[in-house]
Amino acid sequence: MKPLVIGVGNDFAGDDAAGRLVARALAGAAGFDVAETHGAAADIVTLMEGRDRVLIVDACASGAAAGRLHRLDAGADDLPSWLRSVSSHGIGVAEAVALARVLGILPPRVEIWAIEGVAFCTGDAVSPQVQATIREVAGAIPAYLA
Amino acid sequence: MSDVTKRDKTIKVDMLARVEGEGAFKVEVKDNKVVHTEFRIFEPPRFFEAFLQGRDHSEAPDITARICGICPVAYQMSSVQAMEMALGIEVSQPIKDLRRLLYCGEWIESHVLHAAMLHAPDFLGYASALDMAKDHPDVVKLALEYKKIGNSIVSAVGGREIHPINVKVGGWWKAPPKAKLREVQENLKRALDMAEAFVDFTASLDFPDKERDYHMVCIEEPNGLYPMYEGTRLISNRGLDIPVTEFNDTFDEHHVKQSNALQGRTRDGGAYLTGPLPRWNLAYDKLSDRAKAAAERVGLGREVKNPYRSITVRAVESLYAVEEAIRLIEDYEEFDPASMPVTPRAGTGMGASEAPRGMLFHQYTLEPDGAIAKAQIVPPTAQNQPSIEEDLAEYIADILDRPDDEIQWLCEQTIRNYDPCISCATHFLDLTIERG
Repeated sequence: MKPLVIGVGNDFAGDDAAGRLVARALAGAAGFDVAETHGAAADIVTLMEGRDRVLIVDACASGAAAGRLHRLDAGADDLPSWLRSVSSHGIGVAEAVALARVLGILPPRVEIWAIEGVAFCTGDAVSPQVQATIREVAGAIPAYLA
Repeated sequence: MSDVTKRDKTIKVDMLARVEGEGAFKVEVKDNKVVHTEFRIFEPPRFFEAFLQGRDHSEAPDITARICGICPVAYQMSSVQAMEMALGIEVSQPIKDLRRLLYCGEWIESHVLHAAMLHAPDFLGYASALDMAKDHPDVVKLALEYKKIGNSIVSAVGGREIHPINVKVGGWWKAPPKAKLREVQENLKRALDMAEAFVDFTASLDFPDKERDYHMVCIEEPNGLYPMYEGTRLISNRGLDIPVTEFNDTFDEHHVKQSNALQGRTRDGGAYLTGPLPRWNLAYDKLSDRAKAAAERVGLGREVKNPYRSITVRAVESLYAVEEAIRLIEDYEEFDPASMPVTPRAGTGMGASEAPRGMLFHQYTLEPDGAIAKAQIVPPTAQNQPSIEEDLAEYIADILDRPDDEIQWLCEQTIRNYDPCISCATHFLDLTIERG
């Protein structure tokens, strides 16, 4: 099965849309599939199941500079607590990875690219730094997954 | 949580994990009595009501679908019905049947997600679905597999799994191919056993022995079906029976300081309940024979006032949704055109449907060119908020001498009875527990 890019986020909550905007920018790309989700663990687990390689793109708030890209390897790294805390509803990306691992269905290669955001309120615009990173990330993914 | 005295305490949780969105609650206890409860939610419909103003009527289903990641179909179904009333459009039966089928998919997805991953851990003493999965992997795997079959309906009918794009004012963009739905039907037949097993699982849990005499409200369908898609009337267990057009004459939204959502009450100020329990109590006879048999097998009577048993009601409703989807696909024939003609005009329309977690009401006023002059969205959780606060006060009254963490556990479990969809402004969250 092809690699899968999962864009996580909320379209109407400022920088939280980052993952989805990356996914949308990749629509129609060859060589990998693209999905979007608001970030419930159950959806992410289901999307990942059966894949060999998954790249999850999400927004985060770790306290770093806006627009910074954090690249994490779910297989090698203990996912940081700030990723857990920004994930959807307390049952988001980090929990999805942990849940898939417990159930024995975590794909061999799962990476998480988290874009540092600063504006997360309903109705906020995506901040310029995050917009720039969205473009960079969307530009880099096809070659990265090739 | 440090007790002010042994008899005074405040339990405050600023973020509830495992509810779909952001929420918080506070319970104040003085002299061993609950003196105040507060359930606070952060909810975006106000933003969306403003956001919709000036936009074209045709945008409402897609925009409102994004209010909630869990129940986009509900938002679409209430919005298209309201818009069609405003525009004077009567949609055909095949259009309605396909909408009901889409809704079945969402009920399965949402109910199974909530019951298995969010609520069951409360009953079994786990802090999260992840902890539960370590000891009960089979339950979680069953739930994920079962939920996926709900996803397959939404995907086949709605055009994609999340935020379906095939719904439009007037009908559908395209009627899905019959062959594709037949494939989904095969999955659904396979899901029947999962659905039965899931009912049995939820019924095996230990339920707190608590109940109240709720004012239960749900929609009534014009065709005798179990309430789901077409809310032409609103009924209650206290004799309410009104057309949906009289919603605002009967119910009122109050602003309360602790919440940016408006709280729904009846015009005389009373709390009321929407969701699985009202549907069950008001429409039990409309369930399928198999759903009723499953309920009887697990000892769930036709009258359920214990809100903790809502987890089993959800499981039986999911079984019903599986059967209903099989039936709708069995009768399905492709239709063309997929939509009724839509001509913009000035008007006002109302629509109500049963989101998995309760009744969702929309009202729109349109300008002559079809632009939205005014939008009103009343989600189920806003309507249930006063009931949640009353539950918190009453259900913990007899355990105030227990350790705080035990009280907090029951509070959270109680709130999750409502599957509160307080779909958040963002998925950024910050959990703090203050004691004082």
